[in-house]
Amino acid sequence: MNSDIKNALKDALILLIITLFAGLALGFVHEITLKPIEEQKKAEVERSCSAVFPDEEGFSHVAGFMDADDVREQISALTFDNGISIGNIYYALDDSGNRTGYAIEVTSAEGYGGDIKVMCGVTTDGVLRGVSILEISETAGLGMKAGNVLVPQLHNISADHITFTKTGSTSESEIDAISGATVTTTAFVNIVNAALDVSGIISAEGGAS
Amino acid sequence: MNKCFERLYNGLIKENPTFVLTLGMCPTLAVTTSAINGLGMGLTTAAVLALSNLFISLLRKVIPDKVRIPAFIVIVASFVTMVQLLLEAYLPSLNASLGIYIPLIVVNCIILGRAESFAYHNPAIVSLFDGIGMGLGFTVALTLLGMFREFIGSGSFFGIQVFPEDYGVTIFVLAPGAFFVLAFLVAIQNAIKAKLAAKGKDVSKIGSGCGAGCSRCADKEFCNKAMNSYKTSKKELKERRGEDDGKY
Repeated sequence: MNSDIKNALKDALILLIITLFAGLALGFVHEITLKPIEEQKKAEVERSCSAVFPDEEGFSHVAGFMDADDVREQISALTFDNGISIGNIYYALDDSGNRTGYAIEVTSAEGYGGDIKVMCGVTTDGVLRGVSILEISETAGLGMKAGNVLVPQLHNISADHITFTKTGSTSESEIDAISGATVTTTAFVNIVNAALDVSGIISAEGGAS
Repeated sequence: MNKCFERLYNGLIKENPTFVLTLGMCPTLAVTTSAINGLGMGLTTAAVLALSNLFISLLRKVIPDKVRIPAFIVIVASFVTMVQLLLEAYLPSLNASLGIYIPLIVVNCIILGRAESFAYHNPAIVSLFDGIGMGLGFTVALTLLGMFREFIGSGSFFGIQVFPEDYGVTIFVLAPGAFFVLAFLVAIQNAIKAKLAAKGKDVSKIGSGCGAGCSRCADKEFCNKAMNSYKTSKKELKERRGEDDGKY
């Protein structure tokens, strides 16, 4: 009995030592990679923000982005009934530092294969400049076509809300659905409408600053 | 040195973890939607496999038999976490496309399998090479699978569009396609081996391992018997056919 306990303790002690060393090694690697990971994340935000504000005539050039901390509380209090949630919001600034638009991260939980997370760029006067997909796991060949079918259509739309159609778009606020992927298309439409709503609220409240 | 080469060869061809041992099917089938994903997953696993094999082998005299599995898991999980942190820091796009399958390398049965059946009983350098061999075998298999699936399913080859995506057979980039391609690749390989064996060539060097190679397999004896009886029955069948020639 006594030797059994001794053996068990010995085994446990060795396991503890191995775990301890593993933990130390992990901490070391974590320390090294902490900064690069942060930089990568920052660069990723920068990339996705810039992607939704393409340089084009008629729109002011976007030079940088700033966290929209002042409206965060107000926006996070908003609730949507179609699986939409709002993530980070950034102000798009032009060369002289004036606010020209908002980059809004919107997630829809109602994708066919899980969450769809999209960055939407909306100008201060409510024009949807563009969207870029951050996260998507739809069915390959169907919902996954969103990047090729929907994203190019969601470009420079000035409308309060958009809808989709399966019979060919006839107006600016109508986009063509991906054939066979109504769920994905609906999720995208809801995302864009939420972004337009949010931009309207920010413009109304904080436009003066 | 010779032994090290033997381990590389063993992992790549003789006991290829995917085509011969059919281990690690979950990541195999899930991430091989494109060649580059397969390559990335394979190399990531190979790095973890080689390092964990090396360390488990170095610690094999220290790790008590009773707690070896938790010890293996601790070592493997640490390496996986390190690899994931490094990927996040320096290769974020690969990290994003492999997603959940990187943390799942911890429970990849190839890694635990090699730890248990090889590294825990063999010296460090040979174990390291066993890990590299198995890892490369896994990489080659995943890349091949990904290549076929990507080409048939979305018409591109390592990301270069060969024919328009709309003509691709979508099912090949979905889960069933993975099974189709895997089955075809294994079948082709077994057909080649069977043909060579039928011609009377020595296939022990490329043989599927069973009876010939799997040094620690519990079913070795049984496999050997089954293989032998299969060969003789085929021979008999041929002879009988020869006698009956003309009747059928």
